[in-house]
Amino acid sequence: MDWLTFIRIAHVIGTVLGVGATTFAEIFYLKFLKDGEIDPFENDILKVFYRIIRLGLVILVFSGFGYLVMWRLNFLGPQVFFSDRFLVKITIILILLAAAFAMNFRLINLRVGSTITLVSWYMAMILGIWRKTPFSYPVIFSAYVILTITTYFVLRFLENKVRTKHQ
Amino acid sequence: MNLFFLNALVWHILLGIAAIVTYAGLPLLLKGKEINVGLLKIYSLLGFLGFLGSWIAGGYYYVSYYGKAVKSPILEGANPWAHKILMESKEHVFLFLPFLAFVVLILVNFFSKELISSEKLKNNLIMLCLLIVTLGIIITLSGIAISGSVTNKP
Repeated sequence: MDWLTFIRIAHVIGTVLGVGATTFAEIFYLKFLKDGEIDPFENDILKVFYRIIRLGLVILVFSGFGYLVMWRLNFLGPQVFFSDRFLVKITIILILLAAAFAMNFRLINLRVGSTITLVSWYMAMILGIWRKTPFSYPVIFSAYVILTITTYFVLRFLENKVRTKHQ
Repeated sequence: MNLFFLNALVWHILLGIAAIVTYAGLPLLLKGKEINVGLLKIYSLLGFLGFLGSWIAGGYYYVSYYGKAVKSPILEGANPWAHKILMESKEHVFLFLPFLAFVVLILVNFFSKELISSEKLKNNLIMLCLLIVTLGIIITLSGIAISGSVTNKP
């Protein structure tokens, strides 16, 4: 197996773990809210998902740098390194890291943090797959912001619906 | 680029990222309900060794290879600012990261009791770790931009 294949496999595994665990963390969170509270056992299950998200992020970052080394050695230059798609991806990963820290230190609302995490993982995955994105940085980033705000309200709506059902 | 310099570049990146990840984990450990001193010591040691290894590998690559083979193509290319601004800043900030990491290593290993009892010391250590992570990320982003500015084969 050559290095590029190894890096690609690691990058896909990191993305799968991150996107999968974030999605299931949201689904289970809403499911656990059905009785109106998160008990210690349910909290433990959610903690497992958060650990998997962290693991996915670490694998994604390391394999991402593997890609960068390969690009550098092949002299792909500004066309790839300064492409809109790559710059948005880097921005989103930085936002993801900042949100993780802010959530841990209770600097932002947990619902806001988990929405940013969910949308960021999906955007990173979509940008990773959609290699010939025709859109510029401002367009992609605006779409990300709009998607985050929309997802926040959708999740709030679902959360309220689940809580109302319980009462 | 021969295999030796290639290894120096790859280890510079790998160890640097590993050190940043480790120092990003330290504030989370410090913020926990019960401080696991053993784990703190392991994290701080691994982080320090990571920065030191990255420092040696990157420093050797910079002195022996970058100046001769990489700097000119960047200066002659479309983004000379990558060297003039980013590399010039990076090489100075990069110098004191292992020293900051060493301060954390000393605090965790010799002042662990005070870390548990003093909230102020703990919070200051968290701030120092976050400063290291922030500087590490800035240096990493600079490194990405510098690598992205190399176009022609030297």
